[in-house]
Order: sequence, then C-alpha cells, then structure tokens
Amino acid sequence: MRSALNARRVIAALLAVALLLAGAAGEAAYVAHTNKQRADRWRDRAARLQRNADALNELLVRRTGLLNLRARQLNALAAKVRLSSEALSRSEGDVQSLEERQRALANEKAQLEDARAALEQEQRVLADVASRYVRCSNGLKDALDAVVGEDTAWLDANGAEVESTCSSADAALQDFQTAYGG
Amino acid sequence: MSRRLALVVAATLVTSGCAVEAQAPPSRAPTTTVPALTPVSPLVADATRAQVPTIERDSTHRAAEQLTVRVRNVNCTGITLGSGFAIAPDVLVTNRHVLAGADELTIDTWDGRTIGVKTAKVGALEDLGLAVVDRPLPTVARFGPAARAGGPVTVVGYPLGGALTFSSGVVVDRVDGRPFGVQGDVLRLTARVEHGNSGGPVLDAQGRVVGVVFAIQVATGFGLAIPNETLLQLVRARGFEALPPCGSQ
Repeated sequence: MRSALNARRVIAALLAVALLLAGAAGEAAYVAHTNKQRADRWRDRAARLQRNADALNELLVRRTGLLNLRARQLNALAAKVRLSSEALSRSEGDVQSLEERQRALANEKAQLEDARAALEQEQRVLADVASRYVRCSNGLKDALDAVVGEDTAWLDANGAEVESTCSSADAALQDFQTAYGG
Repeated sequence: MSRRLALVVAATLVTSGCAVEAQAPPSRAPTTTVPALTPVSPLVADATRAQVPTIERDSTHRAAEQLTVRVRNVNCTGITLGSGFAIAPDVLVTNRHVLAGADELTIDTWDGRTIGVKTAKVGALEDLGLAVVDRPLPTVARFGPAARAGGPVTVVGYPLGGALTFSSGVVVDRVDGRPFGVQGDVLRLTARVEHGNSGGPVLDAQGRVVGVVFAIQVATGFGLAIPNETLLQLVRARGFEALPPCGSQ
C-alpha cells in the first residue's frame, strides 16, 4: 500500500517534470525563434548602417580630396595674387615715376616753347623795327643827297615822309623796348 | 531520487533561461581612409585682406589731367598763356581773352604733345572762345549738372604758365555776371585761381565740368567761372565770332 502510493507520487512527479520540461522546451523554442528574428533584424540594420557608413566614408574621402584640391588651388592662387600684387606695386611705382618724369619734361618743353615763341615774336618785332629804320635810313640818305645836290623840290616832296618814316621807326623801337625791355 | 529530480528540473530551467536574450551581432568598424586636410596658406588670408587699389580718385585725377590743356597765344604784344579743355575731339574751349589777338595759337597737352590750332572764334557776349585743333585732343569733357552753392569743385589749369595744378574749393554762390562783363550768372569759387587758369575747367566731385574759369574777383580773391549752362547755350546758339585783331581787345 505504501509502495503503491510512492509509485504514484513518483509518476506524478515525473509527469510534472515532463510537463515542466515540455513547457521549458516550448519557451526555449519560442525564445530561440524570437532571437533569430531579432538577430536577423539587427544584422540587416547593421548591414544597412555599414553601407551608410561606407557611403558616408566614401563621400567624406571624395569631399576631403576635393577640399584639399581646392585648398591647393587656393594656395596657388594666393601666391599668384601676392606675386601679382607685388608686380602691380612695382609697376604702379614705375608708372608713377615715369609719369612724374613725363609731366616734368612736358612742363620743361612747354616753358621752352614759350621762350622760343617769345623770342620768335621778339625777333619779328625787332625785324619790323629794323626794316623801319632801314627805310628811315634810306630816306635820310636820299634826303642828304638832295641836300648835297640842292634838290629842294625832292626835299619839299619827300621830307615829311622821311620824317614820318623815322618817327614811325622810333615809335616802333619805343614799343619794342616797352614790351621786351632793353 | 527526489534530489536527482530536483537537479534535473533546475538544470532544465537554467538551460531554458539562457536562451531568453540574443546578443546583437558585432558590427564591422568603418574603414578609416579619409586623407589629411591640406593646410590653407597664410597668403590666402593676406589676399583676402588685401585692399583693392583705390584707382577711382586717381582715374578722375588723371582724366582731369588729360582733359586740361595749356593754350599759348603768340600775339603782337608777346605771348599770352591760358588753359582750356576739349568739348569735342578737335574742339577746345577757353576764354575769349586767352585767344584774342592771336597771330599763332598752340596747345600743349599734359604729356608734352604740342597741337596746332586751325581756326579760333570767340564769344560775342561772353569771355569764352573755341579753337579747332589739327589733331585729336587726349580726352573730351563730360558736363555735370548746374553747380550749386556749397558744392565741392576743383579748378584745373596751368597757372602762371607753370605745371598743371589742381585747386580744390567750393562754390560760394551765383552772382550777376554783368559787373564782370559777362551776361548771365557767374560762379564765385573759393578754389585758388591765378593768371593762367583762365579758360580751365571747374570740375565737380565726379570730374564733370561745371564751369569755365575766367577771372579773379579782386575785392574778395574769389575765383570767377562761367557756368557750363552758359557755355552750352552759347555753343548751341553758335554765338561766336572771328578773333579780334591784336591790340583791339
């Protein structure tokens, strides 16, 4: 009686254990399935992220390369700008000094042209004065001849004109001296 | 027996608990192939800070220099010197008293060229004159709006027959020109004017012609200029006549 009772207890315990094991196995199977799905999702996500990271990395490499290219071009341009700026400063200085020299020479030339024009004008006026005196001298010479030859008719006819010619020459000389000095 | 059973149950439970959470798969570290950045030269900063040369003022200055010419009048009393400026490639404006009585007229440009004059005429009523030259003048004037009192001006010319000068000042006012022998208004200027400036341009801040210098007001020392409106009216009306002979002006 007692052993039969023990046997039933054992059987009951075994059944309970079997049920527990079956439940645990079911749970383990469910968890394993869920884990596989989760693992698949993680793997997909990781692969996606990896692809994104690779793409970004590739983009970064390209952009960095481009940036470096631009930086090198910028550096080269800046060096050219510096050289051009220095050359421009030198040229500007050269041009300024040449222009200053050109202005000074132009001014000197203009002053010389003024002096030349004034001298030419003075020469013209003086030539006019001289020609008047030549006419006066010729008139006086003719008048002297008329006096020597006692040609009163000539003297009466031309004396006033000779006097006028000589007065005109004196006036021209006076004007010349007033205008030009000396 | 019951102890064995308990061990089996415990082992089963532990084993099933181990499968509760899965570990995330390890990710591959990204490949680091990004190149190092090329440093930017300090010259770039210098270049960005570099000032663009302010050539505007220079160009206005140079334009004024090229515009203004020196007029030499050889006449029966010697030579008379003045200034002038081009209103067309072969026509320059100056004063009547600069051209009057000329036996010979020549023009000197800023760069030393000498240009001959073919014909010249003077204003019948104003102290203005025109000369037609035998070669093109360096540059032609741009005319500005009527000058107003207080406006900044620059008188450009060859005072006393010397080098080209620039004299800055302002327009004092517009006054009746008849006391000065000029029809219409004249501009009074604080800019220094001397003999030889006659006929030279009065320029505004943009280098445009606003008047023609013709005299100095002895009482005040102000320079006097004929406004460009009067000049333009005279040119449009063709109010010019032949040069008066030497000694008659």
